[in-house]
Parts: sequence; structure tokens; C-alpha cells
Amino acid sequence: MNNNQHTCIVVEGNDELREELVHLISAQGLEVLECKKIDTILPSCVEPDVIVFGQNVDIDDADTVFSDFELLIRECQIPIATSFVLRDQLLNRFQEVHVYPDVDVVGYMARTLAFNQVKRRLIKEDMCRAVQGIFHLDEADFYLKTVEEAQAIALLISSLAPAKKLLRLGLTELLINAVEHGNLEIGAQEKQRLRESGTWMSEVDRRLNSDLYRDKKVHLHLSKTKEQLLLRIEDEGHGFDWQKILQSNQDVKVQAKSGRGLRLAQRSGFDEFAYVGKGNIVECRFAISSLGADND
Amino acid sequence: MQYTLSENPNDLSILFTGELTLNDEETFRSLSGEVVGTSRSKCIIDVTQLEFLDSAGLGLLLVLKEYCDDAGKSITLKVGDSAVKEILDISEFESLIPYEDA
Repeated sequence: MNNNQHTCIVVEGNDELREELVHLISAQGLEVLECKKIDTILPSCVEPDVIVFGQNVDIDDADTVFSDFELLIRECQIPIATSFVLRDQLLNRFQEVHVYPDVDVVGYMARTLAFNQVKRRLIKEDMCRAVQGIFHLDEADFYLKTVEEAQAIALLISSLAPAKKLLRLGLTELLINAVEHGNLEIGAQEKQRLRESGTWMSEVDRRLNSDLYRDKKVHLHLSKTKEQLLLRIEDEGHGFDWQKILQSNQDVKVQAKSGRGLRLAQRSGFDEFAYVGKGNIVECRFAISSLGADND
Repeated sequence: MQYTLSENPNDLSILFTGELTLNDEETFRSLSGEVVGTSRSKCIIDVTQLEFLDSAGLGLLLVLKEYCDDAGKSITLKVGDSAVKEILDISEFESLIPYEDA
């Protein structure tokens, strides 16, 4: 098959209808592979841009057993076009399901969905390539001021770790704590009060724009070896009684209204995690992935 | 975060997609009001399609629980094999909002 041509797989048990669908979609310039069942084994090189279902396909209602074909659709988030007949069964198993009102429009719909899928795939590939750049860093310094910057840096750095989501959570909490509690001096009780009154984020914005706080930065120093990543996060705040808080956290459930972020950070997969001095510096260490930015 | 509200005969289901973080504070509070306004006595929070959740997002789920408690509604969490299951587990969330059976 031609790897550069948009590809569609037609799934239909009735030979006549399948041939009609193939004809309509081929007429739009797509390369079409056809099969009768959803558990068909596809060539390993095939990643279709769109799947078109006809009307006569057996789809298991149970949502626990998936064929390789179905797993490919889910993993690659391949869009599906289907007749109304199969809509509900497909929606039970897949995320992106479009219903074509009439078989005459199936060719146009398949082409549009395929084009959109290719655009999405290119965006994803570009992002992955950009993130791969961080693997070549041995040492770096980041300076940030806002919670949005904290979120972005946590996402970037966590792409280095095997347990990306947990680590992203831990880093997000530490960096946001440094911005909010450290630089902007919003205490836990005050934060709780602001959240309850719905004014938390506006207060963060107000302080970020005030003379007292606008120049304060959080400094994140990153150093990397082959096996691990070391991070040192330093804010310009007054610190806190971290020994007392960390000790008391051992006995408190994460759900407690205040201090939840720090408790989550303690459980989010750092191999080492320690506050230093008065508590405006935290150092952490975690093993890094040798596989690169794989999906979590 | 985006959500879909479905009113079923016996319950109200809220399906979340995307990421539930501190950026969703405002949307979530208005959603909580909407949930309380329905006549269903049971609310199912479906996080099976959620990609990420931070401590603020966990806090928002607790806000929704408080709204439901105050309105006399029961609330459960549908987790399945969600991408956020591990985060919910380390947060011991099941002890606060019971999980729906898979």
C-alpha cells in the first residue's frame, strides 16, 4: 500500500453494500482496504485515517474484549463514519463516531474525516518532536512567575519520567505552591477562603500585577544524568515549618481541605523529596525514562 | 475540561473529558449548581475519559460532593481504567466518594 495516500478501511459484512462503499470512497481519492468483520487482522504497517462501517457488522456489546483492530482504533483515535444502524454499538466502544445520513455522502465524509485525522496526527508528531528536545538537556534553569507557567513546565519535565501523570501531578503541586504560597504569600487558610468565595484566581492575578509581588520569580534548576533527574525549586518567600507539616501529613488524609497539594506531591513518585533550610527550597529526584517521551 | 450531562431515569451522569485542574474553578462551580437543580437523587461522576487531575481538580470534585450532600443527593465516582485512576488512588478518594462498580 501507498503510505502517503489517505487510507480508509471499510467494514461491512454484505458483499454488495461493501463494494458500493468502496466505490464511493475510492472515487474521492482515498486508498481503501476492506473487511467483513471487526476482528480482522490488519497488516502491521496499516494505520488508517478513517474507518467506515456499513450496516451488517457484528459488534460485541461487552466492552471488555477488544480485537487488535479495535485497539488500533482506540489507541490512534481514528475517526469512524457509520450508518445509523450501528451508531449506538460503536459509541459504546469508541470515542469519535460520526453518522452518515445517506450512503451517497459517505465518500465526502470519509475524505473530510481522513484529512482532519492527518492534520491532528501531524500536530501530535510536531509536539512530540518538540518535547524530545528536553532529552538533550544536561542542565537547565527555568524562571517562572505564574501558575500557568508552573503547569506548562511541570508538563514538559514530567515527559522525561516513566510515570508521567503522577510526576506531572507532583511537580505541578510543588511549582504552584512555590508561586502561590511562596512568592505570593497566600497562606493555606486564606487560599481556602478565597476558593470558597470564588475569588482565588482573581486574587492570584491581582498579586501578580501588584508592585509587591510582580518581580518575584520561582527558580527551577534541573540537572540530568543518564539515570536520574535532579530538581531544585526555590521561591522568594519566607518558607514554612516544613518539618512540622510533613510530619503531620503522614497521618492526614489527602482529601483534607487545606494542604492537599503538598500531601499529593509526597505521594507522587519522587525517589527523593526534601525541603531545605527555612522551607523556600525543595529538592527532588526521580529516575528517568530511557525510552523517551512515550505515552503514559 | 469539558463535560456532558445526561439525565437518566434513575440518576444524573456527568461525563468529564480533558483535564480537570485549577483552570476549571469557575465552570465547575456553575456545573455544581446545575447538578443540584435537577430532580435526580443520585449523581454519577464519570471520570473514565479524563486525562489529568491535579489537587485543585480533586478539590472541585469535593465541592460537587458538598453540593450533593447539602441537596440530599447521593454521589458516586465511575473510574474504570481511567488515566486518572492512579491519582485518585494515591488521594484515597474512594474513601470519600464511593466508586461505581465497573
